Amino acid sequence: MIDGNYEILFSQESISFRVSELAAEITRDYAKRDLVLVAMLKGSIYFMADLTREIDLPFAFDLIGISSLGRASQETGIVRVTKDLGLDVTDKDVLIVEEIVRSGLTTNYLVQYLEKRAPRSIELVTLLHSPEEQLIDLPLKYTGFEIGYERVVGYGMDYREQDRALPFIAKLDESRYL
Amino acid sequence: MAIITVSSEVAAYGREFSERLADRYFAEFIYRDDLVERFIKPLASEHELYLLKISPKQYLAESSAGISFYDYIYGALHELASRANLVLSDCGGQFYLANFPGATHIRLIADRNFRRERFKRRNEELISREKYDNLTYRDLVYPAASDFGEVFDQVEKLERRFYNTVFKGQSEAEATHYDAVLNSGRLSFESMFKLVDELVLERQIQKELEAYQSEEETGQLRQAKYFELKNESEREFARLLDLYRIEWRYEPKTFPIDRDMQGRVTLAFSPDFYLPRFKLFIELTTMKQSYVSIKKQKLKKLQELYPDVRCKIVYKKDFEALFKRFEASGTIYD
Repeated sequence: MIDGNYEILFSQESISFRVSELAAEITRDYAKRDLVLVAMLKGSIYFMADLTREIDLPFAFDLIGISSLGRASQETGIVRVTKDLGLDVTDKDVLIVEEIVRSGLTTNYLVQYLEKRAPRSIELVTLLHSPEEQLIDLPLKYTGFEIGYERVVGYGMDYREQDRALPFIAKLDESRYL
Repeated sequence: MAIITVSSEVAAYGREFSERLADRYFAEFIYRDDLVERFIKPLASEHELYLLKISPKQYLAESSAGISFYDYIYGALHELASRANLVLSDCGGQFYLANFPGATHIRLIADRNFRRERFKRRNEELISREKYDNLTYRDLVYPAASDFGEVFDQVEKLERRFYNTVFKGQSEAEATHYDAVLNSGRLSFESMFKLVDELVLERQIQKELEAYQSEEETGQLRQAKYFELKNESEREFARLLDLYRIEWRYEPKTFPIDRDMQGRVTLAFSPDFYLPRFKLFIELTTMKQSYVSIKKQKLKKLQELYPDVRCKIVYKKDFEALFKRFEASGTIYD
């Protein structure tokens, strides 16, 4: 569907419906558990906000920021946490909230980081998943939609900080931003 | 690799900061008593361990290894720093690893009154005799003392004596031993982390440049772990795995996938990378389609003959998409 020159892959309505479904599954699976949702800045904040509004359980949530120093092409690049968790996740059931998982490298970094905090469990919910691109195993329990190699914007996902606030998810067209 | 030493004035948040730093860098955290527990305990008697706790001179005494405890720790830390990320907290790391390539040395200070008050508050919890035995050298409390302000002064004096004795007259407070001196009474942990991040990166770059220059001078090839990788794509992929702290091995195993009538191997497959955490082999293909087809056939044979072996092909488009996303955003977005 084309809307204002965007090629929409997932409409606002379909996202809303799917988020409700995911929230219902999470509510069922995490009943009587000590749920803490952890989302990575910034792309997943819209998904996190909508998802948590629909989860019918007590829970806590926190945000974490991860960035890199240097570049992947240099031998001196390193990844580090730029905004740490404020909550203690020891013995908690952590559910990582991602807007998109492709290779899984970033999410795995977060999983490894959280493991050091000794939570009771770590699982993952992602709105978008590209199974063809996934390199490594992840504790992926809930998936909103599957996508291919196409790059996307909207619903938290950006192209150079633009179009993050679109209510739908559209295919990225770099010519829009020239 | 991140090697960071943190030295701090008494009650200047040194240990707390160092522990968070170790988490941040996925580094081993070593505090002064850990040095004794980990490196010295196997070769010291109970009496020697007790003396090490209360008398700095003991570090210079000869151990059962035939060298002083100081020299033993020096060697052990150098060996450890050559293969692991480390954060050393208040254990003389700035001296043991003074010239270690790529090491970053930080000192935390704060206003003395601020620290004295903090020390009093913290140690009022440790006054009971049963806790006394568990106190570290830094936390030595005189049971009879009623004024922790006096104890604070004593501990500061003991610290100065420790460093003066063990490190042969070198002063912990001398700013030239450090890459940065940070006031933990005025800066938040977050801002101090950012400063340390920049210093760590700069040290790493310097280390790489020095290695390259010296190898240029001698005409030797780089003694870097990426050297054995056959092409630039493999090196880039390895660097990406390192960036994300994913352990890898290069061509660790060759799988025979075809044999002749005499049982001799006629075709074998050596996947490029093995990721131990995921028990996964990865084969990169960044070449033309005809070569990709050959690899796919090899992978199919591998899976038939070794069904328990997990192997994934990373195609050229996956590889390029991965780097394009990373380079375009400048941050991790995956």
